[in-house]
Amino acid sequence: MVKTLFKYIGLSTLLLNTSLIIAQVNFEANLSKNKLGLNERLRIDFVMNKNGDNFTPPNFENFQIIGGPNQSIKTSYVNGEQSFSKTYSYFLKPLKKGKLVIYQASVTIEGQEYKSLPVEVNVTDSVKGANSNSDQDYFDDDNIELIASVSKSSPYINEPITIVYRLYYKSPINVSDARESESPKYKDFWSQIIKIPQLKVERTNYKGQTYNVVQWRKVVLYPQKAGNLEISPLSLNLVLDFPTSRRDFFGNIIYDQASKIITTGSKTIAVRELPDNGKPKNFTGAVGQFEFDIILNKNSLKASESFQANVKVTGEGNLKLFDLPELMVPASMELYEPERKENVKTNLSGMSGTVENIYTIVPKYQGKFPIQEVEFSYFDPKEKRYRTIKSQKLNVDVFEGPTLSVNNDNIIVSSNESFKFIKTEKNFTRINKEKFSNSNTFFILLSFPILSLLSFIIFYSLPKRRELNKNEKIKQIYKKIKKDLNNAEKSIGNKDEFYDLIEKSIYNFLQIRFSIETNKLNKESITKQMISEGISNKTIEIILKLVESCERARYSNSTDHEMTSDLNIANKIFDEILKNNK
Amino acid sequence: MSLNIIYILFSLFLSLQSNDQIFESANNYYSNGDYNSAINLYLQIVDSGYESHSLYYNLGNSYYKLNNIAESNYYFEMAKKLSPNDSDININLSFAQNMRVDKIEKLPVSQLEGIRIKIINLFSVNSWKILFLIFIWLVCISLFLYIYFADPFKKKLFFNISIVLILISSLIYWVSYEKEIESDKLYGIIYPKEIEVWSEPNKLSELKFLLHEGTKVELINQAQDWTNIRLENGTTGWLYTGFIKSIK
Repeated sequence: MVKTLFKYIGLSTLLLNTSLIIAQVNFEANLSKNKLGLNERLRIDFVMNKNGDNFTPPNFENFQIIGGPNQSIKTSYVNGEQSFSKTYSYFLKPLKKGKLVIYQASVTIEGQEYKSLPVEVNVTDSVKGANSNSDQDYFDDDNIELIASVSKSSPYINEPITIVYRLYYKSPINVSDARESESPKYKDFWSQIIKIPQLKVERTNYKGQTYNVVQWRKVVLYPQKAGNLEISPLSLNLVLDFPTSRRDFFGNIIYDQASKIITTGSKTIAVRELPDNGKPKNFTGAVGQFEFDIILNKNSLKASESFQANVKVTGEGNLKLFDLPELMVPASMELYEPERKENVKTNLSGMSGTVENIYTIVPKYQGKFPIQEVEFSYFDPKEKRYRTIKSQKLNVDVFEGPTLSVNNDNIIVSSNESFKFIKTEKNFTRINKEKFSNSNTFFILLSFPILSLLSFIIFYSLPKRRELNKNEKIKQIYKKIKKDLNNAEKSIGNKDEFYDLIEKSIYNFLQIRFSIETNKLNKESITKQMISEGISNKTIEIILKLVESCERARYSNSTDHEMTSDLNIANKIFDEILKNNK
Repeated sequence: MSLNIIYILFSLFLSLQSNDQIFESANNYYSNGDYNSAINLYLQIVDSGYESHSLYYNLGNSYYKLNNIAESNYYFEMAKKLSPNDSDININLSFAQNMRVDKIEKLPVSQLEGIRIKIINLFSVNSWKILFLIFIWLVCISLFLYIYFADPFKKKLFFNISIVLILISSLIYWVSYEKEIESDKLYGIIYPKEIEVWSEPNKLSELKFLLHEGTKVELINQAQDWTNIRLENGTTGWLYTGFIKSIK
């Protein structure tokens, strides 16, 4: 029992060990040889014992890749033990002599990055009879070449360039099959591939020798960005027929087949920015040679009928790559979104044809509607300058329909009035920017009635009123005097009261008659005033006498008789003066 | 001295006379379709310092016939300013306005505001002011009569009349004041085909929108070469003063 347990433990440790062995990752670079001649070839294998991703080959400096990468995976079970190996192989041709280094390759295995060790290669002079199979020599670059010819190496933005990819080869090599292994990418270009219906082999003179040539691909490019733009290479995977040194039974040369990858290498195109100098404001990126106009399908119609306006650009250039200028019509017309129509052909010299925006417009009111001139600007790369074309002046006459009339600034009324004829009234006035409300006339006309009314009040109405008031007052005081005198009559015998009343009435009298406001009767001043008023001496004498008797009565006794006579005198004076006054 | 006065009066008379003749021949040119000559003659009258709503109206018509959006709008607006209720002017102005590219929605107006606008647009500013003067005269006369008459019945009658007249004239004064504010607002017509309106009086600021020929804008104020404008929909902005001709 215990024994079996140990057995298990031993087995499990064994298993553990094997798994540990498997877990050990190996990634290395193996060279087929580390010493070779310049004309020899070399194979390098990057071997890993676990499956990895993101294999990055080193930059094979000073080497040319002839073949590869070839990938192979090997899995084997030996005595129940699994072994795995994955290999990336490259065939390299050294480009120069000396000690060359192939740097590290990297791969990600189980999430971890592994790197191979850099390896050194010693390249010596060319060795004759190298690579015993001399057929490889036919693959020499001289015998077969893939050329990308660019029509213009420094175009302007949006100026078309063409690239033609040609495959040159000469005998004894023959191409029996070709496939594109890497297609060029035209980043930052607008590109159009011109279809080649059937590949044709032609004979041509190239580098002073007769070559067979095949146009593999033709493309038109419109650069969309300034700067050095790179075009990635085109690579072809070719199947080549080449003669061997062997001959068949009949003495004919036996041909063999081999595959070869051939590439153009990447191309750089220096795209020039369009000049800023003289760039029109409304420039939208058109480059080429164009004609421009706006065409109406009718220019006289009724309101609510529709017409069409074609904004049309014809010519050669980047027709598909710019915006057409916008049409501007009066706001009182309904303008619908345009329909874009393109009739563009692309050939090796670029795009040519017509691009147009067709607007549908519906006038709502009658009248005359000028359609604004529209300007179209483009850059002419041949003349290296900008050109601007103005559309012709257009007019649409809407002869029937409602009129939009704006009344009193805010109320919009539709009516059927037509455009009115000129007026013939001749009532010119001097142009006067001064406001009427600030003018002298206005102030005079405003102030005159007010001032006259005021002066009327001041000089006529107020004095009159004052007089009226005075008369009223006098009347009241007379009434008072009369009342006092009546009371005095009743109080004959009562000396103090009697003379008080008499005195009071004299005060009042003097007050209204001569406007003397006084409580003390000063004979002299009264006399003076009365004289100046032109009252007869007799009356003055009587008044003074009355005043005197009033004074006297205060200090001595007076009889009833005297009182009666004084009262009579007072009555008489007042009556008389009242009469005079009236 | 007296000769001088006679000379001045005579020349004034002459100029008026010749303006009438110029106007007639300009009208003839217009009728014959020679709008450019008509415009030259009409402008001659304007240059001599005279104006009338029919003169501006005819200028607007001539420019309309020549498809000149800005000028026709300008002169119709000038004519409308002198005679706001002339239906011919309003109709032809709307024809000229239909040629414009810009469509500016007016701010909606409340019913009360509509009534107010209707009332203040009944007469021109000057007519309102004259009406106000007439009522002031009536007030003064009736006050005079009120003061003058001693008879209590007549006094009472004229007192009441005065009160009513004072109320009416203060109402008229208010309306004419409103109208004056309205007519003191300065408007202008955009002349170029297309101009940029900026958020501040310089080109470093934000570009707000574009305006086109013939659009009427309110001019709020000026700063150096720039004018602050307000559109009928309430938006404001700055544009270069040289691009606008003010209606005044």
